[in-house]
Amino acid sequence: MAASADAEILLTLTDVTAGYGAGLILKGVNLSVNRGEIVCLIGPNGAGKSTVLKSISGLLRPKSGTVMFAGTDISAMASRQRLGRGIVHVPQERSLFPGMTVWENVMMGGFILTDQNVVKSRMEEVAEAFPIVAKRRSSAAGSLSGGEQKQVELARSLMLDPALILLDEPSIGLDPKSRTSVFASISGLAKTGRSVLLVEQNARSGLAVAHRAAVLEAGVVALTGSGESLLNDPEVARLYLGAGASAHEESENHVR
Amino acid sequence: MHALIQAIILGILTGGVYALMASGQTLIFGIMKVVNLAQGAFVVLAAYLTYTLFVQFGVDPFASVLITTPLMFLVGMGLQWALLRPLHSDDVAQLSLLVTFALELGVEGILSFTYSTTLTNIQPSYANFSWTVFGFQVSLVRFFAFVLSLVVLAVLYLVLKRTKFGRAVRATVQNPMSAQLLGVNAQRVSALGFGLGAATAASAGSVFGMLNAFNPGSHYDLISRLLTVVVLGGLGSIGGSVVAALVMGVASSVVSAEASPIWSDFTFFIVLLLVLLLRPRGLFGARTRGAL
Repeated sequence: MAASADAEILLTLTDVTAGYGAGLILKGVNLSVNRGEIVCLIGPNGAGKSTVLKSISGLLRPKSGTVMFAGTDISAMASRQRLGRGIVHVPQERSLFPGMTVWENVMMGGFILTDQNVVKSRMEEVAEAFPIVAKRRSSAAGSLSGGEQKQVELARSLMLDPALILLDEPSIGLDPKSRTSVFASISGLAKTGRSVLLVEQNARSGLAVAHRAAVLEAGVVALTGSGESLLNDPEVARLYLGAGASAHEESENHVR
Repeated sequence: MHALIQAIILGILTGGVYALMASGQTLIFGIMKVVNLAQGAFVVLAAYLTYTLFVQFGVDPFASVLITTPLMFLVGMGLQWALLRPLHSDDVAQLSLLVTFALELGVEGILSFTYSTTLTNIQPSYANFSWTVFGFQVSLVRFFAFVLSLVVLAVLYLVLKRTKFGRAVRATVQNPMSAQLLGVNAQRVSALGFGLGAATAASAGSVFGMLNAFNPGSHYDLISRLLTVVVLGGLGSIGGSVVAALVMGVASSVVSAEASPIWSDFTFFIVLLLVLLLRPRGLFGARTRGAL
C-alpha cells in the first residue's frame, strides 16, 4: 500500500507474516501510514485485521518481514518499548478496568511515564478534550455505558501523547448515537496530528472517516485506495458495505 | 448468653488473623489465577522462624514480624520466579495446583527435618495475660494479634489503592491484556504479588505460633480453613475474604462454645459445602474480576 509521495511516512509494514503457533494468519502484509492520517483496514472475519494491529503493537511478534516506525525497525521490540515510542493499541474488547474509577483508568494510560507532573498535565489536557473524564471522574468504569467507555478508552490512549493509535473495532456494540460520537472523536485525533490505524467491521463508517483504506483478505492486502474511492467501489460495496445501500448514506453523519 | 458473647469476641479476634492469611491467598489468586496450596505452609514456616527468633535470639514474637515479613516477601518472589513463572500461561491454573502442592510438601519436609514433628508453641511472658472488659475475658495476645492483622490489612489496602504498584496489580487482576498494552509488566506484578501474599502469611504466622500449638504438618488444617474462607468470600475479593474470615471465626468459636470443640473444625466444611451448593461464587464474588 503506497503512500503519497509528499506525505511523511510514520509506519511501514513490509512483507509481514505472523500467526499463532505454527499457523500463519498474515501472509505478507504491506501497509503504510502517514503522519496525521487515518487509515482504515477492512475485510472479512478471519482475514487478519486484528493480527495486523497486534503485530504493530508488539502483542504478537512477526515471524518475518519488518515493521518500521518513525525510521526505526521495531519488529523485535517488546510491546512496552513500542508503547514508549508512541504506539498505543486500543483492543477490540472492552479494555477499561471495570472496578477502577474513570480517573484511575485514564491515569493508567500514563503508566510508563515517570514524571508525575507530566502525568498530571496530561490528565488535565485529556479531561478537557473528553468531558466524560471529568464528569464521571469518580464513577467505576464498569458502570459507564458502552459509548462512554469507548470515549474513556480513547481519552486514555492519549495519555502518552502517541504518534500512532491502533483502534480495533471501536464501534462494536455501540448504539448509532455513540458510534457517531466515537467516529467524530477519531476524526479529531487526526486533526491533532496523530495517525490512526483503524480496524472496523462497520466498513461504511470506517471508510467515511479514513483518508486511506485497505482491504485485507486471507492475510494479504488485496486492495487499497482513498477512503472515499473504496466507499464508492462497487465490488467493495457488494462485499463489505451491503449491496444496494447508498455509499454516502452514513458518511454524511461524520465530520471528516 | 455470657458464654455466647464471649465466644463471639474470641471468634472475631481469631477471624482477624484468618483474614490476614486469606487476604494473601486472595491476592495471589486475583493476580495469577493460582490457588496457592502452600499458603498454609508459609504460615507454619513463619511460625517456626518466629519460634527460632524468640528461643534463640530472644526477639519478641510481635517484633519478629518486622523480620519475618520482609524475609518471606523475598522468599515468595523467589519462589514465583523459580517455580511459577516458567509455567505456560494457558496451563498455569491447573499446573500451579500441583506446583504449590509440591511446594507445600517441600516446606513441611524441610521443617520436619530441621525441627521435629512434635507440637510446639511460642510462649512469651505475656502469653497468658488477659483483660476483663465488661465481664468478658480478652486475651492480650489475641487482641494484639487482631490489631496487627488490622494494621497489615490497612497497609495492604493502602498499597493497592494509593500506589502505582497497587494500580498495576488491580489493573492486571481486572484486565490482564489491557494492563500489558499500557506497559504493565505482568511477570513483575505476579512476582511482587506472590511476595506480598507470602508476606501476609508471614505476619499471620508470627501470631499463629502464639495462638496455637503447631508442628510441620499443621498446614493441612490451615489450608483447608483458608480455602473455605477464600471460597466463602468470593475468589479474588480481599474485602470478601476479610468478612468471610470473621464470619468463620465467629461461627467456629460459637459452635465450639455452644456445642462442642469437636465440631468446631467441621463448621468450616459445613459452610464450604453450603456455599458451593447455594452460592458458588461466594458472598462477594459476583464479579470474577475487579474485586480487589
